[in-house]
Amino acid sequence: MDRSEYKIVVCGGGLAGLLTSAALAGALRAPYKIVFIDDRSDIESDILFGSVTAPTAYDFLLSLGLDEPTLFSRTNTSFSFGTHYVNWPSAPGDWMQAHHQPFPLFSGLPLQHHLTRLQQSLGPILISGEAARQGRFAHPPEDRGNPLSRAEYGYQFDPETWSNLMQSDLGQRQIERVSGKVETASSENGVIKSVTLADGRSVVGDLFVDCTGQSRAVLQVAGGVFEGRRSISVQRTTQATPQLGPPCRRVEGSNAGWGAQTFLQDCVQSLQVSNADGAGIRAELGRVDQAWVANCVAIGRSASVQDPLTPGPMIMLQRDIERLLSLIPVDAVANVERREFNRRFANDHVNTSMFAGAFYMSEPSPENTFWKTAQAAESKPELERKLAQFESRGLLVKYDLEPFNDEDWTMLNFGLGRHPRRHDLQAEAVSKAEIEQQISNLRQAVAQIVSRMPPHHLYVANMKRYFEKQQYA
Amino acid sequence: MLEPKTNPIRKIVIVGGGSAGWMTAAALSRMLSSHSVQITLIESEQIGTIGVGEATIPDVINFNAMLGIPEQEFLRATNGTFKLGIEFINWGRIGESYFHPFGEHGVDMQGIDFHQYWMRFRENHPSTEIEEFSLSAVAAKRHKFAMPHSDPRSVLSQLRYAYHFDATAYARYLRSFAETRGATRVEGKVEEVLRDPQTGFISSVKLDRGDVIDGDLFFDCTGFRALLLGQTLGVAFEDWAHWLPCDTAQTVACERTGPLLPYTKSTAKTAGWQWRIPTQHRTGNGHIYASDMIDEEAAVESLLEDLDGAPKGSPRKIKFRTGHRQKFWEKNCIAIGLSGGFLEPLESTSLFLIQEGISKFISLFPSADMPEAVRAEYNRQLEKKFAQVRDFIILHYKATQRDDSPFWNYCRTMSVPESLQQKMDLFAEAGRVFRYEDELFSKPSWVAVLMGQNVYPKTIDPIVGGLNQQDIVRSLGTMQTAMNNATQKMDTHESFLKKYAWAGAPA
Repeated sequence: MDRSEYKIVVCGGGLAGLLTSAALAGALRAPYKIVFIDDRSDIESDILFGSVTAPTAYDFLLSLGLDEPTLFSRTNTSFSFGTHYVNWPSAPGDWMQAHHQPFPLFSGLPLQHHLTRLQQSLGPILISGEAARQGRFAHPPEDRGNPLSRAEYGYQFDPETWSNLMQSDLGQRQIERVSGKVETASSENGVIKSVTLADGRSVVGDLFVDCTGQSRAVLQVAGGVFEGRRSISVQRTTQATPQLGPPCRRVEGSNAGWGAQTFLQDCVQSLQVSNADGAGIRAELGRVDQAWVANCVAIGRSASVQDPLTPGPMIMLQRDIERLLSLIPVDAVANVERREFNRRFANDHVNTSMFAGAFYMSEPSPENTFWKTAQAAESKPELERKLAQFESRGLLVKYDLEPFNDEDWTMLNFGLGRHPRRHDLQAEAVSKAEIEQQISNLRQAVAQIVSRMPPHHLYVANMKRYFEKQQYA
Repeated sequence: MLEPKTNPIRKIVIVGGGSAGWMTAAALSRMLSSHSVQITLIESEQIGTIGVGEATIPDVINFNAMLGIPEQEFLRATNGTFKLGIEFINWGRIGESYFHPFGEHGVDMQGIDFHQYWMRFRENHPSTEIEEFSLSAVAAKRHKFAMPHSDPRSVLSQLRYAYHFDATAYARYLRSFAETRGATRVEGKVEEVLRDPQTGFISSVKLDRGDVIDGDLFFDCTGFRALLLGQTLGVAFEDWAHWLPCDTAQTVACERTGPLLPYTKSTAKTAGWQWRIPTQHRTGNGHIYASDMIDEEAAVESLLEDLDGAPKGSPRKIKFRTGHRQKFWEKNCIAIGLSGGFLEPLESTSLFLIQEGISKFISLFPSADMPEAVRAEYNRQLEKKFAQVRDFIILHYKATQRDDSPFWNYCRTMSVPESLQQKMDLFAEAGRVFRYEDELFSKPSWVAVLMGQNVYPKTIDPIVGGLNQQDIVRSLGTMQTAMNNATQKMDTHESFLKKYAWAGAPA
């Protein structure tokens, strides 16, 4: 870079703006300079980020200095082994959508082929799922001989508490803060020159990051167009609790939509998701055609609004930020970076929303607008192909850099009662008895380890005591 | 969860021997029980086979492992040698060379690509080459070899290798492998292909001696003729000649000379390039060129001039067409090998593409009614693989500064597929490498060729720009020392191979 200063202006004071500013400030040195416009006008909508992260959040948060001692002692964050789906209209029963490392191969073949052949279910061999069901948690150990090492975890969290935490630490980062509401932006020849605040001030910059949420105040001026797919309403209620619940979110389906309970250290937060005309905050699910237009990059809800049914919204937010970090412009034009950013954005959006979409694709679904709208809006050729291949022969079709892995898809398909019609012929290379024995051994090992794990609330309490001791040691 | 009764496949017919035919027969006979599926391979001694490959990429190890073939037995049977990469000579400019090694360069640190660190390092060390940080390249340059170590802490864990071998001997070896496992070989030439009038499926093939062989599924391994998929089922060919103008090869073996190199050499010439592939008993050579840019006599002369040993026999000419069939699988017929598509062996991918065709088929193993969903997925996956390999090969021609012949002037200025152009632009900007998940040639390969052919980024990624230069110099210095020490201790390739798997030596 051959100039003395390159100013990146991050617009928006919610979780997206804060995480983006912290990530940029952590990675870039002069001539880059980060300006953060602390616009909190849309932070209530941060509940659309949902209340759970995927396991990838650990490394990401750590890179921003948000380690577990910080998250657990300064916010009400708790652990998440996954989500327990209950009374899902099209599913034959409840199931645990657990975070799990790749399943061990049995005689060189993915597990689902053997399970199909033996007509067995997945549940009892998923250690993270079984522990979550029983309300137990422990950190997965490094030792690969221990079945618990195959468990992975994310967090149950409240976006607002994370935002507050980052706000209070902002002073320690190389970020210039400007308070105010972003009203609009002004451009010359299609290039954004400055953003205008509600009080009339304007902030100039070289690159603008739009984290204003659904208002898209800057991206709109640059020419980004939002393409909505369907609308939902989301309402949140909070109830204080004396004791921390299980290390998994609980999602329950109903005729009108679905509700999620998130178990935090001091409370249970409930999200109720219903039709567009239901109670609460209205959100239009979808994406902008281009997330990077001219010198404006949209991150978070400004770029795409994801269904909070899965950890998808947080996965997408993290990917938006990482994508930007890997493509920091080195000159004013940045055509190459922009094209690549938009290509990956489109891919990430399709892959992330496809997973949530798959929940709505099965029959029977209730004769209700919410379910019918979702089913119609989420149907896509890529998804149809995935489901058809799995049902035909247990084959997991993969697209490029999908955030949800084979294990996630297998659990979801089995949970929704989608079973392959045939198993892979290679499964027959081993006798049924032999593979049954292997799977039964694994099941027993899982049951034994889980029975020795502590309840989630005790584990968190002990861990926090330990952190405190470390701090004063 | 009950399985509906679909018709299982009972009879598989493979038309054509050669590498494609026998690799298919070997894999299927290994996977399927000869009681439930009958495998027949038809080949004619009158039709010659084209010995594609001879050089491979590391994936071939997986193929042999899938078949359960012991490495030493395989090397002895095929006069095989080890390959650590390819040396490209005269590609960027005449007089220059670079090494495209298997495996990584250095180690990525803090989530940042190694080549970014290297570019910082280069600011103070202008004579450094990135291949000094690849163990495969360092060992290859000194004609050394060792087996990779499985412990990730050992520097030897960074080695990757493939083989050079005699493809005809490999086909012979696989033939006996397949026949032992119940596959039947039928001698004969296919005279007529018969189809079911209702479904259009191939029902049987009629041989010159009059026998009729019927089947549920047919593999077309008939080479460029594509007798079944092309001529009978009429699947059109997608031609890529405008991006890859070479269309002819002249091949000849010569006597082995000098040290046994653990790598392939590829030398760019006036209107194409020449390979040099060392096996235990001889050296394989071939001149690949665009026939409208150089006449045949000159091409042969150029081939012979550049041999480093006495030729064995006279050169053989092979005409080819670059591209692939629009579908690899149509109705009940799958084309494997040249009948499905061809890309010149610049990156030794011929056998790999055969292997992909087979393993994707096995993972999708259909019932006899050949569901559309299965075929569509197969075609999608193979098409993607071909396009990925194509882009990487085109890169070698496009990223050149040569202007000494009409051939290079054409290649340097031609327009390339959008997917490739984008990758080149992205790299030229700040050394960023396009991210795709299942690319056959991943980041280190792209970096090796781009930088090897003088495509350097305009600037370093700003994220590395902020790191401490001294730390980088120290880390890279340590890596270099570790690699030099490890290479020092290695055996020479020839001596390793003589102890390990020399053809003719007692097992």
